[in-house]
Amino acid sequence: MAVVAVDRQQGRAGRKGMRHGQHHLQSLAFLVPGAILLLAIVVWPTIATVRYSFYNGTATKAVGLSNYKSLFSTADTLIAFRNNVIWVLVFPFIVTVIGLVFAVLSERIRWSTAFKTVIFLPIVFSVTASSLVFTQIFQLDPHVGVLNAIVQTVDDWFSPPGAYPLSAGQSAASLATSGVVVAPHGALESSKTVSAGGTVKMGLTGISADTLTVLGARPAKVPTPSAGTVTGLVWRDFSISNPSNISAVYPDENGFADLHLALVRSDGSTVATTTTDAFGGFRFADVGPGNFRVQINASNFKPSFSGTFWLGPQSLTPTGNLSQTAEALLSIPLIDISMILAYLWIWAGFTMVVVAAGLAALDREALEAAHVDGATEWQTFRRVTIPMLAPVLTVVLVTMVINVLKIFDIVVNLGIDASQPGGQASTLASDVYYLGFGGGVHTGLASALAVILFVLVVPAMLFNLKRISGK
Amino acid sequence: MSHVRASLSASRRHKLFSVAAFTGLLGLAVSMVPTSASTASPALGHIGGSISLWAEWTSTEQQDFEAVLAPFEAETGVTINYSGKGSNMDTAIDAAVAGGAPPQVALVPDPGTVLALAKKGAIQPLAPVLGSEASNYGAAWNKLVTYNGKLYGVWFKGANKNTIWYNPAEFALAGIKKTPTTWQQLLTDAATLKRAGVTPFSLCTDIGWPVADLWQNVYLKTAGATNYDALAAHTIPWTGPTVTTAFNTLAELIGQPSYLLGGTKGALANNYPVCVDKVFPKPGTMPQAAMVIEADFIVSEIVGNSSGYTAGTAGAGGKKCTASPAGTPCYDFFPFPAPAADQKNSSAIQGSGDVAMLLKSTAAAKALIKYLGSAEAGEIWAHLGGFASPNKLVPLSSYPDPVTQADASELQHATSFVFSLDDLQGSWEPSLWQDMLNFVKNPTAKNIASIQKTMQAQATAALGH
Amino acid sequence: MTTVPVTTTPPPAQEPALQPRQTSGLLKRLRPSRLAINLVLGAIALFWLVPSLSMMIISFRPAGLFEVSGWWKVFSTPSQLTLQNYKELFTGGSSTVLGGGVPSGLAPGSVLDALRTSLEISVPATVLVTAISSLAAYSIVFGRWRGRNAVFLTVVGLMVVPLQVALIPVASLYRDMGSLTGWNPFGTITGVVIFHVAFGLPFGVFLMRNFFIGLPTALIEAGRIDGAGEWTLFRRVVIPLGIAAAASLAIFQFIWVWNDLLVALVFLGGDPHVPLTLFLYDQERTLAANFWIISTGSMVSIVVPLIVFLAFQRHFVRGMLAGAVK
Repeated sequence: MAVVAVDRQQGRAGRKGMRHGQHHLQSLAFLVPGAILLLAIVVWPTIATVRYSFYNGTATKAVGLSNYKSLFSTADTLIAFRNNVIWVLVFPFIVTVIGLVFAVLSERIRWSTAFKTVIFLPIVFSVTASSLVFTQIFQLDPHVGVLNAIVQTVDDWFSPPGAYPLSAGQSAASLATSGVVVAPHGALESSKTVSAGGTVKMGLTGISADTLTVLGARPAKVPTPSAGTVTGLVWRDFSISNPSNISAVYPDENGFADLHLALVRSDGSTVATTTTDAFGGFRFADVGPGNFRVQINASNFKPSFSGTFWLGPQSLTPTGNLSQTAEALLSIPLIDISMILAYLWIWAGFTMVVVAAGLAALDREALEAAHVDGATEWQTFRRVTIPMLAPVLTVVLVTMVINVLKIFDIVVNLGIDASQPGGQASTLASDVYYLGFGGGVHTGLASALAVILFVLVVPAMLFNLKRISGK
Repeated sequence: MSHVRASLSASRRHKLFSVAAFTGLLGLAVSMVPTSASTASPALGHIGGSISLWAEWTSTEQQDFEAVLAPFEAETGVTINYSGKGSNMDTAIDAAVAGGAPPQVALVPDPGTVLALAKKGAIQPLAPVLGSEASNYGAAWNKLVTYNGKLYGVWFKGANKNTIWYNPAEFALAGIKKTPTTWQQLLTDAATLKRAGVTPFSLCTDIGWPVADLWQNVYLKTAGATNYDALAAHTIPWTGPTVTTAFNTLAELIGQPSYLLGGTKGALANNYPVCVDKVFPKPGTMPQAAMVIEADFIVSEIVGNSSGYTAGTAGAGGKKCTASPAGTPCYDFFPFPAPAADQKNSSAIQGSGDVAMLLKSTAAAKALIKYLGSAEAGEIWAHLGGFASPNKLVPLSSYPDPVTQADASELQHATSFVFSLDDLQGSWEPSLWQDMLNFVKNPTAKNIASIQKTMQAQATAALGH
Repeated sequence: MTTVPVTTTPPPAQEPALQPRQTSGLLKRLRPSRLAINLVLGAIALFWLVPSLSMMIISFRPAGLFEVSGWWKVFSTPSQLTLQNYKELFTGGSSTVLGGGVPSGLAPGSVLDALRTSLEISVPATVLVTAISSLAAYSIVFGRWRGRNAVFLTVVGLMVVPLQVALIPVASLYRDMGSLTGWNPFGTITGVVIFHVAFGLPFGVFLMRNFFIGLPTALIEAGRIDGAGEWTLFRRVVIPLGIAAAASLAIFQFIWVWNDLLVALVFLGGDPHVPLTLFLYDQERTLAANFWIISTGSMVSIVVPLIVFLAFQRHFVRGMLAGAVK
């Protein structure tokens, strides 16, 4: 028995010894496909890129640091840097806070699964598709873009547009054509004074014939004067048959209907108000002695909100008197903010889910203890929950910083043209693409930019390594 | 920084030169296309084999281009593997050359790409291939694709940028009966339109290239072709008086926000090609402006966006043009007018085009290049519409309607032809466009002076002189 | 999509993904106003649905209406809804009249071709990353060779390398392969897949290693003592236990690759066969009045990831959390 047992043990040991090296080799062989790919497609190319960055545009001649010099001296790259800075400073922080708030609040509703799914879903879509959704949301025309439509609705509600809204760039003053001058507060008034029994003719142009027709205008007709009454006409002083003749009333000229008018004294005080009829005629009855002017209220011409260009290059910071370099560095284009909004929609679900998972793993006893000590909910949240969540929040923040350092998809899709080098939405990653592959390639510059991008993510790399090796 | 935007814009400008609409809407069947049997074609003979061919044309433009290629394939027995790259054409060719898998023949919308590839030695000189066919093109065209004294490209398709498109119904609303022939008259007509409550211009701005095209028209008309070429080569400075004059002239129009649809803000958000649709909207929608200053390729957008538009003021069957939903809407153009004092420049034309290049010197590829340079190839597409050939041998009668004929005739009768200046600026073209947008934003004398200084600095930095 | 996984322990496999966590009595007490929270979150959820909803509605509205009126008009005139866009997207049809069309059927440049190309890229890239990562992770965890920790840390370091860094050299590597072997991966789906696999590996190895390290080593040792080869152990012992982790990795990788734009743009840009992201990107750049293609195409592009997500929600979220949670 004993002998057998020993034999068997020896046998095992022998087999083990025999196979030991084989195990080594076999398990090492498992590493080979991955290692080859990583070396060929990740590690070596990274080194090659560093080398290319010291070469010219066609990678045929070493040029020293000149690529880096030209990158740091052109406004185009400065704009890309600036945009990366805006992204890194603004986005990770906000998206983390939103994730935290959503995670905390959703713990207190019964339908939190549904809520989280709704918030999370955009992550599953490609950034390309999501960006395209937002190009439509940000459309300038309030008839088409929902964001501007909302602003317009609110604006119209607080101050309704007039019957004859001015077109963009048009001033009420430019409407005055014959017998009309500009009055204070954007109103128009008759150039001549008038007293009871008198008549004034006021010619306006710049409003389309269609606008008048839609409002039921008829051919202009001066009302017959009568004693004690100020009468007059406001008409569209433009005749297709006599386009250059003004002040005469032609049969093909219509009156302005439903115009709000006021009769004012020379000191500006209002005596009476009225509106014009379909022929453009008006009358102020029972007018006392004195000289008056007829005023056309500015409200008649108030235009509706015409939309904000959310994807436009306009800066949120004043840049009027800055040099080109300073402007490149200091302006904050609206398109950046709009893109960040869209990106929040995409990524809030990620931060929410990660924070929620962190929340679920918290040490409940510490929280309970805080409560027992009489801390309010807010105090518990701030003094206990947040510090305990800090590691998770840091990870989320770092993840998002790396993400936006490499920001590309949303920039090229939402910023179509603004993402081209020098465009107000361009970033380092988009410049690398365009310079590397976007026509008229410059390998050296693109590589130098890629190296810079790489250097920027190194801190995050070290952060990861430190955390993971520390465990 | 490369032709990134150059190529984007150039290809976009061309891409939309789609013939789709013409063929589909005007009912011009491919049967109208002359076959190789009926038209004199360069004697190519049987070759056989296959060729890879790239151009930007996709969709219906691709069909039209394939109609052009069909007689070639029939005669030579060569199978053409055509690939339409859309707006990616320049990118694709650069990437393919870098990736070592280029096509044998390619058409690009940017002569800069041709010169860059010639410099790299990636394409073949064409003089031995084309022979006498090279002289079918004006010297101005050939000069654009000549590198080190050798011709590297053959212009297959041209575009005319010397055009202002208008909606005749809108002109009628303001009682304007004659199109303007001087810049001053254009401004007077704009004022008249404004008084009639019609916004004169839907100013395309996009990322700046339409403004650059517009400014280049003004520069060509005020300073003349010699100065234009000098400025394009940057042998005269951007701070010079001719540049100032052009800016000031254009400011007479841009500086009137009420002349621009949506004012200055609206103009700055007016992207191509929606800016065209605003003058030529779908039936049942009122036009928002009377004119759009754009090249001839917008015709495809006009007829493509809305069926029922007719070429020319006469309208279909002599019916009067009207903007009303019930009537016949139509479109027409007038040549970009020179100022009264500069009428000598009125036939100088700015344009662009698609140029074919030879990447691999095989017998079939060389035959195809020769064919693309022949009148026959151009005529086929000319018949289909939406196409203007820079080839002098393509007769005007090949074009399908009076507007296209007038357009092609302008190209042929140009006293001088200049290529888009911005497309020749290489790396600083995107900056040039931004400068143009900056000008639209604030067209004051002070800002013009500062823009000129900026442009001079940018040009010097980019071109090295 | 980028994640910086930072933990060494995967969440327990049975943990529900988006389900509410077991809340303690304490958190339930934190309710200043339950109604207010419900209302606020309800409003937020509705708000979050607006973009997706609008895209969906646009895809079901006549193409010509896009520039004329807002999608919300559909609520007052539901008769606007039509399947026309989908019909034209799949069959070609008269789309050219609408400015810029797409070829029909499976022709290059058509939406079905793009759908197929997306699958041709995503499926192999997913399978390969999962397989190669699992093998490598096994080697790192159960192998007996020196320097395993260093290799692992290198992999962790590689996780954040921006893929922009590798684009240009890999393009020229592919070209060199072309001139050496006659086979040039540039402009081919294989070239894209190789790139995706390589850049998916660091995260894949990391995730699988973190899972494997939680498995009892004794199991492997026992197997070795019983004379089983490494391959057998990997297949028979480790994979059955690690299938959940592998699924997480696969789902995560699939959705990532499916949604990629940049790699496809670089290696397939200008190619007639492009994946859906590139199809949409190209459509946007034709700048004709083709938002109908974009909206309808977007809807098509999100169907697959949506199904994958809804079917494997738990795995996807776990893959994503793989490291962000302790």
